[in-house]
Order: sequence, then C-alpha cells, then structure tokens
Amino acid sequence: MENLMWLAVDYHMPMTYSCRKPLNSPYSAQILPAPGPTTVRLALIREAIELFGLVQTKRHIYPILKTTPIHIRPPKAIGISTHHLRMYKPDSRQALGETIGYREYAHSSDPITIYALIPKNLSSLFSELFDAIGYWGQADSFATCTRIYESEPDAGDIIHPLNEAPITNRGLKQVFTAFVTEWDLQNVTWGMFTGEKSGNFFQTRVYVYPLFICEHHSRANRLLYRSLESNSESVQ
Amino acid sequence: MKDSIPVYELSLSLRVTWQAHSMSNSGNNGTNRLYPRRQLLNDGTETDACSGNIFKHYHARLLMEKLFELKCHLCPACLIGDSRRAEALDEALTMAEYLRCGICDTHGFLIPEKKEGGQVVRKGVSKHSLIEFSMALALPDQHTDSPQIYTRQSIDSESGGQMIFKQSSRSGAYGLCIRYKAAGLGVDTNTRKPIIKDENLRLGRHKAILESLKEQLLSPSGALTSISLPHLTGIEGIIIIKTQAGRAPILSPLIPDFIVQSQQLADTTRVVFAFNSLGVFDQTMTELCEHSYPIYPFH
Repeated sequence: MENLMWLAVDYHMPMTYSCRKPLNSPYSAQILPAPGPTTVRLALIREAIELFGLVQTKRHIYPILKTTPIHIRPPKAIGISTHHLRMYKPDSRQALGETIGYREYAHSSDPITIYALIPKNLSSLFSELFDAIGYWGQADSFATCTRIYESEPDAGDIIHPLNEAPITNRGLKQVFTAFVTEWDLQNVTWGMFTGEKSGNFFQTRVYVYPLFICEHHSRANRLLYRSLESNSESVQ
Repeated sequence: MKDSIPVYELSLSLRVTWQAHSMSNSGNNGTNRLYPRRQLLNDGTETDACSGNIFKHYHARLLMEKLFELKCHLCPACLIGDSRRAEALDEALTMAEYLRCGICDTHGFLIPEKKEGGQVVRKGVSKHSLIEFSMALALPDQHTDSPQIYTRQSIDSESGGQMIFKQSSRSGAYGLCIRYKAAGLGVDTNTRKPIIKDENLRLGRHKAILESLKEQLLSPSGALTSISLPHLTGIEGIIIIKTQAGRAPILSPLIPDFIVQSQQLADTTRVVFAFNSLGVFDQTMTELCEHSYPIYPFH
C-alpha cells in the first residue's frame, strides 16, 4: 500500500450525457447517473492505445489497469429526461431500417469523480490517460477532465455493489439502485478483451448509489445526493 | 493567424440565439399538436432542447454538397443523402474503398455482422464519426416558446378541407458543443491505421468540414424550416484546438463566464480563439480553413 496512491479525477459534463444501463436495449434505453467501472476501464484502455499504441498498452498498462480498484462518485444533482429519437435498427437480415427509439439523457453541472488506486510511480502516466478521456457513454456525451488530485474516496459518496454497500439504518429505502457491470478481475485476459478469445469477462451486479429520486415525472426524473452512510433522511 | 496550425482535435462551445424556430421536436399528439423537445436540468428547471442528430444530418448534407463541388469521390449512398452511408451499399468493400467516400470517412458508418445458419457471411465493419454534436440546450432564463396555430389540407376532403394543428415556435439563446477529430481523417478508427496517405486529399476534406461547420452555424437548419426558418440573431463562444494527441476541452456554454474560463485553458498544446459576434466567428473560421491542417494520430 506504501507504493500506491488514490488518484481522484473530476469530469465536467458540458451538456447532456447518456451511459446506457446494462441489459437495456439501445432502442429503449434507461441510463446510469454516472459511468460504471467497466466503462472507466475500457475508456482508459482506449486512450492508452491512442496515446501510447497497442503494444505499450498490452505490455505495460493493461496488466495494471486490469486489477486497479476503481470507484465512482456520481454528480450531486442530476436531471434525466426521456427523448424520442429516430434510429437505425438492424432487421432480421441485418440490414439497417428506420425505427423510433427512446433514450434517456442526463444533465448535471456537478462533476463526476473517478478514483483509481494506482502505483505512485505511474501517477503522471495515469494523469495523462484520465486527461485524455473525452466522453462517457455515447460519443456525444462530452466530458472534460477539470482536475486531477490525490484523494481517497469517501465510502458514503461512491457507488457500491449491493452486498458491499455501507448502508446502515435506512436500508434501501429510496436509494437509487441499478445493474452495473464490472470486469471479472480474476479471469479476464487480453485475448478476451480484444475478442481474439471467446469468453465473458463481465459481471453484472446490483449497485447502490448515493442518490435518491427527489422528483419523478412521466418522462423525467431528478436525482439528488444523499450519503450512503448518513442515518438521517435530510438531503445534504 | 499567420502560421499554419496543426489540428489533432477541435472543439467549439457556442451560445447561439435562434428566434422563432421549430428545428427539433419530440413527437406529436396524433395530427393536431407537435411537441417541442425538453430536457430536465439538474437544478429542476425544464428547458428547451434540440437533438444533436439533426445538426449532424445537416452537416453531412452540407459536406456532401461541398465535396461534390470539389469533385471528391462520394459513394452512391452518400451521393443521394442516405444517412446509412456505407451500410446502404450492396457490395462488401475494403476499408480503403469505404474511406474513398469523404462522407463515410467523416461521419462514420456501421455495417453489422451478418450470420446465416450460424455462419458469419459478412463481417461487421465500422468507422467512428469524426464530428459529434451535443444536444443544444436553451439557457433557462433566456428562452420562451409560443404555440402557433396553423392549417393544412386534410386528407379527408369531405370534412371541409382544412385541418388545424398547433406547433410551438421557440426563441432563445442555446448552448451547443461540437467536437471534431481531424486526426481521424483517412484513418481506420478501430485499428488506428492511416488508410489515406495523400496529404492533399486529407487537407481538402478538412477544409470542407470546417467550411460546412461555419455555414451550418451561420445558416441554421433542421426540422420544419420550410415554414419556420430560424432567425439567427447572435453567436458567441470559443474554439479550442488541440495540436497534439489528446482532447480539446469543452466547457458548458450554460456557465455564465464559459468564455473567460475556456481562455484560461490555453497552453502550448491548446490554441484558443474567442468570438462574440457573427462577423468575428465567420472571420475566425475562414482563417482556420486557410491556416490549419489535420495531423495523423501518433500510432
């Protein structure tokens, strides 16, 4: 642990963003309030390939990224609206045809914070990788890295798998939950990641968020922050 | 702008003011009411929105006209404005053949993998779009809409001929963000291998993309412009160019001082241009067309 440090990275989402929930159809998609750990790992690998090339990424960055603990702190207030969109959908012959779809889009002026436990001697390399990430979810869900600093995550402020969540007296009442994917850290290999070998290296689990739904409309929801460790019902 | 600027990536954060438009709508209630698109913001206010899809379609259309005029190769699908692009072609081609088309190269395409009887008969091929548009969001305190009653010819002529329907006419200042990755021109974005090695061809496409972007913003278009062509009454914002591999940052135009904050991001690898009027924007984009060139990705 002496050689490791928690790197915290804040992302500003300039306009709307849309990170689809796992197991949701792209043609009727609900979204997550912030990207999950798999999205973060894949984005870091994508940027590593862009900045340092495939060989360097495979040899030096992937082995660290594969097991690095990643935590995510969602924004403190989020507005989510459902939009009708015209889309293309493959038909039974795998030819694209027009259809109407639904997709949620989120807006927040608060930052999304990603925490990664990394080797101290690689902090500048990881800073460069995090700085290069330009979107979360869909490619038009723009993100700009605004701050990189050393900070340990607060357990009450980050998302957790349900069985690891620090939920106390309040239980799950009104807590926002969703399916989220994480890599199967024990079994993932580079070949599986690039598609050269078959095998599913994702685990989908229920996660709890330090958020609750404060407004619910037919086509829109508003989520607000509440620490998972707080025992009171008050909104912070 | 004296020296030529290498462009890896370019971003625009804009505040544009459109009056009396219906450029993007969320759907209708049968045949008598057309609803505007709306987005809930994190402070609980609901504001007007325009989908980024519509801006992307319009950019592709303008780019097609420019490339056609320049006698650049366009595939048969792009030539008729089919937004499926390479997917609409009947024959399977190589990536080099797909990227001969300037629209497929710029706006990307997706050809899904095809299986018959469990066997792959066509491999999936794709290229990421090099230009992305955010949703345009109205500044909540600088936006209004007014329902307008229109008439149109009824399909059932026996019922009197005219049919009344309502359509919202919207006005306001909108925040819009655009990102253009020049380094991806002529490159297979999945393998990151340069496919087009003719610098002049890439430069021609780069200029056409920037010119289309400029014209798109100076002459807005979208849905229902045949009866509600928007009045453009203002544009201000910032252009950030990343001259090396990495991201050109984008700050939200909904932030009151986004121009000042964005200007502070200038450094040795980021060139920043601010503009506060149509004329300065036009001049800046024209100079960029003349004095910038796309670089290749490092790997």
